Amino acid sequence: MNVDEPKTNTPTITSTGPEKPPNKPTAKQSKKNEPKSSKKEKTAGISDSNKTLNYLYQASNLLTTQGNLVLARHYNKSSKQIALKTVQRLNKSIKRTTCKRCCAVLIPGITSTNRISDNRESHLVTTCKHCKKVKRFPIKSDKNIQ
Amino acid sequence: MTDDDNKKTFQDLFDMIIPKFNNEIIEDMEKPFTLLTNNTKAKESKASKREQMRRIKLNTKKIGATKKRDINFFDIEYNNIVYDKYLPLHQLWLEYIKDLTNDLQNANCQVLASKIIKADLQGAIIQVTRSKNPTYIGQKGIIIQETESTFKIITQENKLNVILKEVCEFHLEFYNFSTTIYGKHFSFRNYERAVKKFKSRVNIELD
Repeated sequence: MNVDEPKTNTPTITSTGPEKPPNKPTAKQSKKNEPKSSKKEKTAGISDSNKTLNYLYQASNLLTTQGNLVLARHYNKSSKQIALKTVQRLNKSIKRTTCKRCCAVLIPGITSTNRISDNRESHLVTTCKHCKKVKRFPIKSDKNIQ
Repeated sequence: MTDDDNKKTFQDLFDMIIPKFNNEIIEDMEKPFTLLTNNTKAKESKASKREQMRRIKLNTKKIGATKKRDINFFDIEYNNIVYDKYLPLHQLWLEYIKDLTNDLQNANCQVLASKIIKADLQGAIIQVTRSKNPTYIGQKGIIIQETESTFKIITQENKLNVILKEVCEFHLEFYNFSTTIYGKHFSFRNYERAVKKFKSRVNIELD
């Protein structure tokens, strides 16, 4: 009597040969695989009007220390008008030290007074001594004011 | 006997220490009375606050230009008309012009001229060479203010002079360069000159 061996579905291993090395990128493919360069950085050069704005701000600060307030106002006003014509924005450190109405330079103790008030939220109040215009800055614990 | 004596004296002492009320006061307290309340203080605070806000609004209103001229808002003070006070301003202007023209490297005259036209001339030394008005000729000084049609100059003799641009010719000098400016074609405001394009002309009109 012949006894047949039961047929079992044994998994068969088929070898595909030795492991091949991964495909090396050819010359054509290398350009695709390179990481894309970042956006072109727009480096804005320093123009002529920037230098005049810089000069006018320094001159107005010099004149207030000498005691000539009328001329310092005139220089700041012309710098505002130049920034309007050539469409440019002034830095926030410059805007925070000039009065909005009379365009005078605000130096704490000499031309302006600083107080702290607690209405609504705690904030800083600076008043110009000539035109009595008020500026308010909120006080936050993490960020710097100036 | 002694006990009675002691009791009497103790009663007397007790009466002396504790204050007695007059009968009149007790009768007055028992009568009905009305409380007077001061409500006027609460009303005063509201009215005083309104007045304060009204005064602040009046002070911070904008004032027109004619009223500012009556107060002499635009005039330079008498103490500041000294020639020696404006010499450091002149030093600042020289450094500014050196930065504009890249340390005077450009020997090309047209490039220099186009940069001087756009520059700000407040703080430079200027001299008048020719003019229709004979009193203007020969004046030299530092420019303080520049308006649409005038220059304001301080001379070495501590005098403030106002000079019309339309009538004169000027002479500028700095480091090694010298230029002449014709005032008739130069009468623009400060910020308009920085943007405007000037054409080169062959013939210059003096009148």
